[in-house]
Amino acid sequence: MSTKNYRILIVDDAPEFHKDIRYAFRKTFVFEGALSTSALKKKLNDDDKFDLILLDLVLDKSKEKVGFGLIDFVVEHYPEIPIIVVTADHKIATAVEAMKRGAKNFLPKDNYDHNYWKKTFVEAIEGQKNKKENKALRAEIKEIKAQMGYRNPPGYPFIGNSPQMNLLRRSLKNVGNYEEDPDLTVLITGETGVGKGMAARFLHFNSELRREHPFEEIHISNITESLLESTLFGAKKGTYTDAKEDVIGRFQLADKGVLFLDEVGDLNARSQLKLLEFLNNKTIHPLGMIKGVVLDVQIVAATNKNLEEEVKKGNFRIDLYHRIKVVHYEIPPLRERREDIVDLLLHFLRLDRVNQLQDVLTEKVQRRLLYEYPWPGNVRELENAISSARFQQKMTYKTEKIDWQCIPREIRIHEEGSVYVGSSAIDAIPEYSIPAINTLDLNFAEQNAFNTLKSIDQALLRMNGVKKDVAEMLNIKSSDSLRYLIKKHFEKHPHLFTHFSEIKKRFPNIVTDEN
Amino acid sequence: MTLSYYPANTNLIKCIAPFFRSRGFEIIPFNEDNKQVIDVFVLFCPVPYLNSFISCERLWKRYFDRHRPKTIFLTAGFLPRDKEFRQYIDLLSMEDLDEVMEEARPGKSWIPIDSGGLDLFALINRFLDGHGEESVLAVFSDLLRILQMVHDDVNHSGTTYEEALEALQVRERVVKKWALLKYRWAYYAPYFGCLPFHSIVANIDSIIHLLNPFFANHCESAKQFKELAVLPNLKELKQSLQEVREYVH
Repeated sequence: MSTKNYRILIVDDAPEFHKDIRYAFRKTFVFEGALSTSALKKKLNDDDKFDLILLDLVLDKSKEKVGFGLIDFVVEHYPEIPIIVVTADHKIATAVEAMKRGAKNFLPKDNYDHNYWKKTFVEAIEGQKNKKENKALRAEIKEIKAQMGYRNPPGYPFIGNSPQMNLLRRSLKNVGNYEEDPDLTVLITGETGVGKGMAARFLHFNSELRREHPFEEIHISNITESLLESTLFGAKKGTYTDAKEDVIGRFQLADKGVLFLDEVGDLNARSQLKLLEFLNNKTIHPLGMIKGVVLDVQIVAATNKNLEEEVKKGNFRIDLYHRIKVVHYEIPPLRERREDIVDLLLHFLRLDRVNQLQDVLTEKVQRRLLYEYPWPGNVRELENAISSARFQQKMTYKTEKIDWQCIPREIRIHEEGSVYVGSSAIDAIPEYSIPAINTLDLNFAEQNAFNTLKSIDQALLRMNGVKKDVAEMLNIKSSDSLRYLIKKHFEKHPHLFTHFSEIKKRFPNIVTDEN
Repeated sequence: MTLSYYPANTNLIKCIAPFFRSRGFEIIPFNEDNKQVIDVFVLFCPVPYLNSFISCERLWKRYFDRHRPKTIFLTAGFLPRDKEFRQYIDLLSMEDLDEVMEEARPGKSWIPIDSGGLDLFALINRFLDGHGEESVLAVFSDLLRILQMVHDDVNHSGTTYEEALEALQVRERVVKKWALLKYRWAYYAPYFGCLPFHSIVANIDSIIHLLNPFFANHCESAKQFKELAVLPNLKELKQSLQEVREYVH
C-alpha cells in the first residue's frame, strides 16, 4: 500500500524540527504541524483524520513533560490515531511512561535513522488500521450473526463458513424454532467425524423452545444390547437383576429438551419399535411398567449408515425410517467444503487471524492440510491431527513451527498432488470447471482469495445469477457487500478472475479486461 | 595491599602514610591507566586546581562506584570529622584513623562530606544543561540529527549534498550549534583535569579538534564530510558526552 496518503501531525514547539521532518520524508508522507498543546487540540477538533501523531513531550520553555498529558488526551478522545513520542529525552523511564499511557513507540530525536523512522511510522499507522479493520470485521460478523440470530454452544462450536454450513445452520435454527411442530424429528447423516453431534447441539442451543431444557446425547453402539432398552426408556425397580431402584431412562432425562440418538442405525428391533411408539404417541413405556409416560422430547437422530440400505437388508424398520427422516440434513464431508478447514484450523490452533497460520504451520504443511489431504475422518480427524502435530512439535521435535515431520504419517504419505476441489453438485455440471488449485502457482493470500471467489462463482451458478440470493446463501450482508467483496479481490488479484466465468459474466463493470 | 591517593603532588599524604605503611600498604599516586587493584583510595579535598579549591568528591566517588566498586573510598581534609560521615579522615585528628578504617567499607550508598570548595558536580551540570538555554546534549542531538538527515537524504532520495545542505539550512543552523558546543567545551574542559576520567575528556577534545575544519568550512565540503567521517565521529562524541552525563545524573 502506498504510504503517500498517510497524514502525519507533528506536535513540537521547535519549528525547525517540523521543517526537518517534512523535508526528510517529503516523498513518503503528508505532514501538518502544531507547535503547542492548544494548537494540537484545535487541529484535532477541526480535522481528526490523521493517521499518526508525532509528539514531543516538552512543548514549551518550562521543560515540563506536558506531552504525557497530551497522550492521555489523544488516547481518550481520538483513540484511532496512534502516537509516536519523538523527544530529546531518551531515558528508559520516560519511554516506559509514554508507552504505558498509550504511545505506540518512542523515538529519541538524536537517534535519527531514516529507514528505521519510516518503518516505525508505517508500523504504527498500519497496525492501527489493521486493528480498526479487525474491529470492523468483528462487528460485521457479530451483526451478521445477530441477523442470523444463531449462537454457538459453549465448548461445542459448530465451525465453518462455507455456503453449505451457513445453510445448514440456518436450517437447524429454523427447525429448532418451528412452533407449529416443535417436535419435528431430525435425521442428520454424513460421514464419520463430520460433526453430527455438533449439529445436534447447535440445534438445541439455538432453539428458543428447548434451549433451557436438557440436551441428552447417547451413542447407541456404546451400550450393551441387554441394557439398551432400559438405558433409553427406563426400568422399574426389580425388573432385572441390577435394577435395585427405578432406572430413569434417557428419554425422561431429556423431557422438554432434545435427545440426540447417535448411530440410530444400531438400534435393535425392540428399541426401534419403542422409538416408533414414542414418535407416534409421545409416550414411552419403561421396562416393567404398564402405564406409559408422556414426554415432550425432540429427537435428533444421526447415522453414518445408509438407512435405506439397512431397510432393504431388513435391519431397520421402514416405518421408523420414514418417521425419523421428516427433516433430513446431510453434512457434507470436509473435502467438499475445504474452505471450512481454515476456520477449523484457526479454532484448533487457537488463532485469531488467517495470516497467523503461517507463523504456526510451514507452507508445505498448510498446503497438505488445506488442499491436498482428503480428510476421510473429517473434522474429528483434523482435530486429532492437529493435537498430535502440536505434541510432536513441542515435545518430540521442538521446532518453531509445525513442520512436515510433525504431522501424522497417514497425512504425509497421502498421494502427492491429489486435490479436491468442488462439491459433487457442481462437478455434475459438465461445462463448469475450475482448475485444481494446486495446478496454479498461488501464494497463500491468493489461495484464500481463490477459494472465496470459487464459492461466489458456484453460488452465482446455483442461484442463476440472482445476486441478492447469492448474498443470502453466502451469508453476505447485501448484494452491495457482495459487489464490494469482488471489487476488493479484483483490485488485489485480477489475474485470478480468468477462472471465474460466472463472476465475470455477472459483474462486467467490476471485472474488466482493461484492469 | 595498595593505597592510592589524589592529588598526586599533595604533601598531605605524609600525614597518613606512616599509618598505612605500618599496616602493610603500598602507597601510590592515582593513575587512571594503572589497572592495578586498589584496596583503599584517599581523596584529599578540596583539590587545589586552576587557582581554586575544587570539591570533586562526588564525581570521584561515582567513578569508583562504577569502575572499582571493591575499593574503600575515603576523603581526607581539615574539616572536623562528623560521626555521620564514616569514610572521612580528619587530618587534624589522626588518632581516629583506626576507627575510621574499622568502619570503612566499599559500597555505593553514601555521599562524601562536602569539602567546601568550588562544586564541580554543579559545574559539570551547568556545562551539560546550560544556563537556561539549551543543554549541550540537546544542541548536539539537533546537530547530529540534521547531518544524519543530509546523509540519509543523499543516500535515499538521490539529492545532492549541496541540495540537502540548502534545504535543511545546515550552514545557518549546524555551524551555530557547533560553535556553541565548542565554546562551551572550551570553557569547562579545563575543570575536567582534576577528574579521573581523562580518557573521556581526551576523546572529546580530539574529536572536536578533528572536526573543527569541517564546521569552520560551514559544512560545505562533501569530501570533508566523508573523509573526516563526520557522522561516526559525532556519534562517538555523543557517546562521550553521555558518559560524562552519567557522572552527574
